[in-house]
Amino acid sequence: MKKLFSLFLVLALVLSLVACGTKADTSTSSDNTTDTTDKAEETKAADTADVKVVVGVVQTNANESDWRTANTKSFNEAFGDAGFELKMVFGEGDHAKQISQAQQLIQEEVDYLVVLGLQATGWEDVAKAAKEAGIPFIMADRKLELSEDLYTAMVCSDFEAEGVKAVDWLKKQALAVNKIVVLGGDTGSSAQLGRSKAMEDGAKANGWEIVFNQNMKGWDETLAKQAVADLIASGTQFSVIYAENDNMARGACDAMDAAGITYGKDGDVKVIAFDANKWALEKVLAGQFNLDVECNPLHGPRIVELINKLEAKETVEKNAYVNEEMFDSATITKEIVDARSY
Amino acid sequence: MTRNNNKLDTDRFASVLKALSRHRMFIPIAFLAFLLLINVFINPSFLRVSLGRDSTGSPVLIGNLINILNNATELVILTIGMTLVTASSRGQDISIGATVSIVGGVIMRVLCGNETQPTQLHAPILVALLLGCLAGIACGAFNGILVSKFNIQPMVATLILFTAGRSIGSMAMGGLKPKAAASFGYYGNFIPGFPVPTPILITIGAIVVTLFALKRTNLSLYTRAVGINDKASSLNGLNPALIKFLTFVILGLCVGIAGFVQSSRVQTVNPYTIVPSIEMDVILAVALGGNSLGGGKFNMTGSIVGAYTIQTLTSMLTTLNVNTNAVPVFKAVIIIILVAIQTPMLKSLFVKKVTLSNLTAGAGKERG
Amino acid sequence: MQNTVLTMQNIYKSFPGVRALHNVDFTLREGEIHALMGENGAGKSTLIKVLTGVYAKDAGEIYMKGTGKPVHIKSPQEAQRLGISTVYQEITLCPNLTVAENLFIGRTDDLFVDWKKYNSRAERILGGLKIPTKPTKQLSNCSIAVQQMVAIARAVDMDCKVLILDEPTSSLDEQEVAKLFTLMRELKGRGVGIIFVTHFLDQVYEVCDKITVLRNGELVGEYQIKDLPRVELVAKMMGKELGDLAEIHNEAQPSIMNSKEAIIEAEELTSTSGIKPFNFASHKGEVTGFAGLLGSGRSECVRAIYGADKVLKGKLRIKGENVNITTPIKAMKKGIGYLSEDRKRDGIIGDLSVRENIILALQVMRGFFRPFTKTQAQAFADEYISLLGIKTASADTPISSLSGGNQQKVILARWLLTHPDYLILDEPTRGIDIGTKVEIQKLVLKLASEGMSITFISSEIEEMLRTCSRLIVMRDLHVVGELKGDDMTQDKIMYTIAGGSNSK
Repeated sequence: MKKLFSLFLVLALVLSLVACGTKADTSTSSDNTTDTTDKAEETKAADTADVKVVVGVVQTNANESDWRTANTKSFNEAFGDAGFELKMVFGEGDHAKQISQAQQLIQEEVDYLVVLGLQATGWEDVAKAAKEAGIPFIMADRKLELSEDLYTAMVCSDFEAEGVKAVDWLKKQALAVNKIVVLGGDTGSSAQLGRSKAMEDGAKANGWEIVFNQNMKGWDETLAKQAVADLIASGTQFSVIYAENDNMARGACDAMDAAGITYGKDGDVKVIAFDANKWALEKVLAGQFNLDVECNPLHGPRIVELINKLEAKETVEKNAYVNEEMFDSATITKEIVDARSY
Repeated sequence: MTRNNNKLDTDRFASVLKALSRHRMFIPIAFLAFLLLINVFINPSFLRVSLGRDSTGSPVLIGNLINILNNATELVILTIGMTLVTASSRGQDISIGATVSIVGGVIMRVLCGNETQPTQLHAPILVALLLGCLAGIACGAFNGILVSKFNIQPMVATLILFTAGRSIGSMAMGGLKPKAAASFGYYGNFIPGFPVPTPILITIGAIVVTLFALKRTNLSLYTRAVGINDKASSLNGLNPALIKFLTFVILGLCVGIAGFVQSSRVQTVNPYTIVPSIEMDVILAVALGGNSLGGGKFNMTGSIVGAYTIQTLTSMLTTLNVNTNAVPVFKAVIIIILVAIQTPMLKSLFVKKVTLSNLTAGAGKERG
Repeated sequence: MQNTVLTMQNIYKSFPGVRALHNVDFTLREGEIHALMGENGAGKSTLIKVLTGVYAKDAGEIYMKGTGKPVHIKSPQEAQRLGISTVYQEITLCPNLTVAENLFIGRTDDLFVDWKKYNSRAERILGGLKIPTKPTKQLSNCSIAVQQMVAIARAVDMDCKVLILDEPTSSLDEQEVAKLFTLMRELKGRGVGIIFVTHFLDQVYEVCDKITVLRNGELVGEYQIKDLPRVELVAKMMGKELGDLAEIHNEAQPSIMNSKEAIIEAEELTSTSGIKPFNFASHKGEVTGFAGLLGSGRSECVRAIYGADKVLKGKLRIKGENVNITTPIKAMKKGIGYLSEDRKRDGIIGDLSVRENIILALQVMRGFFRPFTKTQAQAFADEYISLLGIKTASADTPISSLSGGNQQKVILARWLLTHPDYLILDEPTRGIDIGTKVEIQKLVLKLASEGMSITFISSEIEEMLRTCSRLIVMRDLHVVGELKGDDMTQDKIMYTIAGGSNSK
């Protein structure tokens, strides 16, 4: 009896948690899903144009970073304006979960499937299933390792190009010493792979020394801070911090602050960050970060445009990269920062 | 005569060594010492602690040892709670990383409200600390009820919060990623003007309180009694369910304090990545401390030393700039060695060897 | 010497600091039931473990019939191959497997096991030995007695030449013991040599042919059963002159105080254990006992009084005051102590030290925030270690490394330390050596004479007859009678249990 009761309790709890989770995840997009479908069926014969385009989006994490928040918001707003129905699910750091979520969306027969993969690999089966079901497969944010025939289009950041921008900038600075600390992101994510590769290649080509190169689990600010503090304590000399996101750059700065090491525009250590969140641009403006390379999160409008083209049976460019800028503390202005929405 | 004395010395040395090797703290301390030695060997200035100044000019202590002591704070505090839970419930709580996330989420929400870049704190830090601890205790109590009242295995019971905790943490923050005002950072960094990192002081406080509690209450006796034989304990007037519940609540309090320190370190919390995989490090620390993960007797000092050992290892892998892909392998190999050497089989082999050398030394003396 | 099946000569074995066996000889013939006797720590268990390959001997030789050379037994598996099977005191089967699985586990050669075949084979074996269980029943659902018999059946089925029974009867009731003896005689007829280790003297004289006595790891001698009267056997085991046992009997009489002051009164008490409502009272300075067969409800009665099982109905008065005892701690605070029946499962806290085991109950009564200092605890431990003569290396030694008798003394010390008004001793003498049994009985009488009210339960009726001044007789969870004074004889008890005096 007791056992039964406890089982019931646990089940109830799990169910309520799952229920909460789903509600939170999709409330922005699908509060009236059933409503719409019912209506759609009723009016199908009369007017097919009323049927909304359903787009399934496999997002990474709900609150991974400010960047991700802006990214999610961009989807919600752009899709809402375009009159698409958005089914967004979150992998919450779990690659396998993302894959099953994608398969679920294919089962639900969405019209388009947009994937922002936590990992670059392992998507072949999903892409094949989508292809068989006749659902266009669109990669966004991070490029996945798929052969060209398996996806319809992509709206991705070229992470290696981002890294190369930073490397070129560093080359132009012509520093006397180039001892570089690389704070990598989650091992195996395409952003980490691309940005790390750019710096590793750049260092080889220019004869720079990489004194530290490790990936921080979860792009974590605290881990980055502790790693830099450890380097300082053990007497490792470095002149450049190459942090693969804004948060890790901030963590590194914290560690240098605590040890009295100067950095930034007028300091001994140059700080390079990625993503270019608004708060990070403020740091660039204040001269704390030397360079922040943008990683554009505003995928929503681009994907809307892409889908509209596909709906109109127009041809689309398969491998389109998002335009991305970089912000140098020497040239940044207050206007640029103020214009930043995220 | 001198020869004889030498023999006597070896004899005495051997017996001292034997007694030492039998001591329950021998292996945990030997390994910490071993790791520190390797570090000193690679980097002779490893143990050096210097007084520097931070960017605002306040004096601060800088050194690898300080970093290890500082960064081990969460690990040590969580290990204290985990040791008690392991002893009483004969299992481990795997939800602590996720519940730290919940605590962090609550603290950030209390301090920042709905703002992302608040210039001042929305509530006194003490309130945040208390609410954070309360959240931790609530999680501990939830796990404790499942384990003690409904007799669910600890790992299964805590799997629930393990799975859901980080999402709950995210919800607690209302989906925002705020950074609290700088004054909140004192608890995870330095109090301006005082050169010792605050987390070290918090750890010392936690250890002192723990040892005091173990000495001045029957927590230790009751926990062990229940962990070894709960039937007999209940016939001796103890309430095993209550004591198991109590240890989970204590772990919950530890989670609250650890979450507070952790979120103060960079004054922001990423619920999905805060203290990644810390539950594994904590369980390992308990094992390294010479505790059976099957419950019963426990060795609190051993656990704490175990936690510092793991932090030393982590720090060592950073300062040696081990290739990222090789880090888990490195850790795994060292862990295999650490755990294998503590198995009864190898332990008895070691003792036998010492005994043998002792015997030969004794035989030599007789002949001389 | 032709029919000698096993010879052990000049066996030595020592553990760090302990000389467990010193120049011990042992000979077993075909078709012989040979009792191996000795107090705890005499070396019986060690000798058996050497024979079965659990321990390696330090010196000495073992010969088996048919092998001219000495055999070296390095593992229990090897012993089994040589035809030596053992049934230990503690059941060493797997409780989560079925009876049939337990019978055949580790003995099947086939890669794939046809359990249907084995189940029917098991059914034949169980039927042949009249063991009341089904092959497919999970072992943990069988009574301890049946589990024991399954263990014996397993050993018997392995075509053994030497069968070692290490205290097989300590958990069996009389009918089951009789059944076991029938089985042993049957095996004896087939020519199996049986080594029988037990604390029950009656059983030795009922079934054995020969006795080998060990004391302190040394051989005292080998005797034909008919040449060795009981008293002499006891004397040899204890290494003392006769008289101790008689002494007890004399002491028992004056200790009966006809006090009218009831310490504890139970009225129509019943608990979740299924015990039928019973009335019971125990007075100051009185030793009462519950008699009955295994499972008759002796323990269930005292557990209800102590609050160990949930009380459903009934009243309990302590010193005339109505009390409501729902948990052991409440009973303890009202001055009740309870030494439980199953020492290993419900009594000792294995890995805790002797000191912690002694102070546990008093410490719990004193409260969570008021631990004894180490000095206080040590003083308590020292006091009772010397008072009860507990043999332990130190108070820091884990209780699990003590012998059964000494463990029991530690538990006894635990309860004496709480200075209870009413002390329940449920099977305090089970599985311990004669010397300690006698000591415990003497102690009970002494405590009673000092005014403590005691309930003493034992499977050995003689012990209760010697110790108790009043006996409650039970059958099938009912109280069926009460005996005192001259009525307290073995015959009367049997008659009451059998139902002569009560037809309800």
